[in-house]
Amino acid sequence: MATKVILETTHRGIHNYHKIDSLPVTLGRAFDNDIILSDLSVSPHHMVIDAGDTEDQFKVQNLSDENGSRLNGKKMGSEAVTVSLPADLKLGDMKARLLAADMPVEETRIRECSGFFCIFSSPVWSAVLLLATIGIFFLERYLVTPVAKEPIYYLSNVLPSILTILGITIVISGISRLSTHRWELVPAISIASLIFLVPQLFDYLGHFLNYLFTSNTPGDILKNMSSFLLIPALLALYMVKTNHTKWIPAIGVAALVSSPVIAYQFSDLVDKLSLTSGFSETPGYNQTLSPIDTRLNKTIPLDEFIKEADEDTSREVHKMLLKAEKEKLGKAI
Amino acid sequence: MTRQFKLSLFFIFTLFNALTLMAPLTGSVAHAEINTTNIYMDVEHSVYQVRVINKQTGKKSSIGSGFVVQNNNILATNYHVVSEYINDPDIYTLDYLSTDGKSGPLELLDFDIVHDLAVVKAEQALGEPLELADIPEKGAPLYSLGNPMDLGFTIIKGTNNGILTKDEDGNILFSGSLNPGMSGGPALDEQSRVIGVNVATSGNAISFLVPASYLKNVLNRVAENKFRPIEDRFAHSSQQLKEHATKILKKILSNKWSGTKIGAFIVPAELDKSMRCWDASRKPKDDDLFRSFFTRCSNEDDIFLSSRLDVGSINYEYVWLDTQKLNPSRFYRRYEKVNNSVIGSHAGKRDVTNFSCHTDFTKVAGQDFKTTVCRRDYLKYKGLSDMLFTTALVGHKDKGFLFNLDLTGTDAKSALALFKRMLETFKWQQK
Repeated sequence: MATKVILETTHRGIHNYHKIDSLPVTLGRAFDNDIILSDLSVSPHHMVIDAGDTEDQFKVQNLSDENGSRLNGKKMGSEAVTVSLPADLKLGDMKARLLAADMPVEETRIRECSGFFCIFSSPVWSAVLLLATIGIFFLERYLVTPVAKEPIYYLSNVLPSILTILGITIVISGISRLSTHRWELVPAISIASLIFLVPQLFDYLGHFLNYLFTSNTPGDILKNMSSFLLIPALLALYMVKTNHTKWIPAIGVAALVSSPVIAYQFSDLVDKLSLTSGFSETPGYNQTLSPIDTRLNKTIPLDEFIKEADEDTSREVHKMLLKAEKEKLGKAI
Repeated sequence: MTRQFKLSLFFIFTLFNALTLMAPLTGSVAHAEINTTNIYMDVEHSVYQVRVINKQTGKKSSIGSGFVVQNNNILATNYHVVSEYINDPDIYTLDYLSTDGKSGPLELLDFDIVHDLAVVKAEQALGEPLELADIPEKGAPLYSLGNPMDLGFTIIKGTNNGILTKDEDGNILFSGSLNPGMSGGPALDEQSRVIGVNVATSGNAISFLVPASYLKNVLNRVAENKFRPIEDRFAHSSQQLKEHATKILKKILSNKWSGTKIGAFIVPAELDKSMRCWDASRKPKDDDLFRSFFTRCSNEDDIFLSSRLDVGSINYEYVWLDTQKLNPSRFYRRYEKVNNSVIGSHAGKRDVTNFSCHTDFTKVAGQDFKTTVCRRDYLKYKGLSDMLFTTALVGHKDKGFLFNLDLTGTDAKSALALFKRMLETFKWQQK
């Protein structure tokens, strides 16, 4: 009979595979078992696996009162239970799985990806992202320089940032080398580029929205998103898309790896909040100006504006005065 | 104009200035004439040192001068000499020290915060009250008395240069060397009558006196009040400051303003005789791809509230930017960087609320402007506000224009009226 079922046991993180060629098969620590399991929490005669009513089904019977067994997380009694593959077992403290012998196994830990959205693994994408990021570095430098300069000036200003991208690329690919034995340079270049590209794009978007709504809120939200969520999100996406990591562990690892950066950003944010929530001698108003002049607020006559500004600021200042008065009274008591 | 320094003497002043100021001081005493001697003898027993004493340490924290006026137990001095005591009567007390070393406590009766005057009362008679008089003609000799640097009483001869022409509400320009510690001392004419009170100096024998007429007003009020002290000091200050601000703004609004051209706009320049406008454009560099012009105007006036708080300033500035070589994105980066208005005041958490701002788009001289009004109020000086206005031309890809106006310690409604009037006089004049 050809092998139809495989028993996988996990002992101290190491997987063992037992081919089951004939049924029934007995499991336990005693030497007269078909499969001998050397875990101390496994009883001498712990379990029997037998053929089920149909070809795809099996019967599993727990023989151990002492250490007990679990099937798919549920405690087993002493009667035989019909299962279909795959099934999770637990014998005492030992984890095991019943797997179909024809279950497909991935060739490596790197995931194959095809199609347009393979931004991490496609070399074309990674080249585009890298060039776009370098391009935006030059553009930014060009925009903030209102005087005529030689190209070498821009290059010397942009070069450190390009070197930083390469540095991050090497770190990410080094980690990939350690965990998958492959350098995987292409996804590393993509993710390093995105770490710089996305905040800059968010910045442009934030500026556009700030002018559109005559408010600083959209830009602030985008800025906080890019400083807190961007790096963990990119790392998690990278692990899921490039390796066979599941979403939850990927998010966990990404959060852990980016925690120093997030902790830094967080302390920075707390500093800013404590500054703005307390007294500030600078007036916080929307200072954005845009050559395209796209906005939701229509131009209003001066009279109307003065009236609204007077009412609005008087009301708010009055509120602040009342609050200060209350705090003073509170202190006096 | 260089900045004026108030003449009350703080500890730090002593350390900093004592050595450098020693020489000119002895110099002026050496030039004393017979006239000066007579005047000094006349009033010697009517001038006192006024000291603010910290209750905890019993040591003086600032000193100035004062003189007997109206009644034999009434002293006049500067508001800034006794400001610590006025602002924190729980921490400080006030006392006097005579030329022959007698001292005793003083009590605040009234003050004029706008003209920097205070009137205090002693428990016993101090000396012969000095008589007040009008300002003599320009060029007449004046004699100023005080206790510079806590070195002892001195008399300084100088020249009357009249009321500052730029401001009819202003001080007398006295060409003589006043020094820290002489604040509140009397400036006398040749008949030993008080024509002004020492108040500030810009150094190099450019000094300022408060005209005695303002002191007369305070003394009249004191007499009406039957020599009882005023009750709520901060309300008293607020009222005076608000009245002053409203009066100044009303006067400015009634003036005929001169216009000046900046870029494509004609805008108001000097709003009043008390205003000074300066060009503050940056020097163009060879590789500049845009032009920018910058005009800044100020009333160059500060009313002293406390050692860290001044109000009464009115500042406004115009910035014009244009370009033929920069693309709109590059030009607007520069333009946006300049669009950043702040207020020049040291007011802190104890003094004012946060700013509340309102921003919207308005039509000014037929053009679209992004305009902001910000207001914050003083916590102790009720009804007094700092106002900040800023407006930026929008909708032109190669032109930018900013107008910033800020007023400290003012009346919000009057300031809004000024801002509105100024915007209404803007004219767009494209070539």
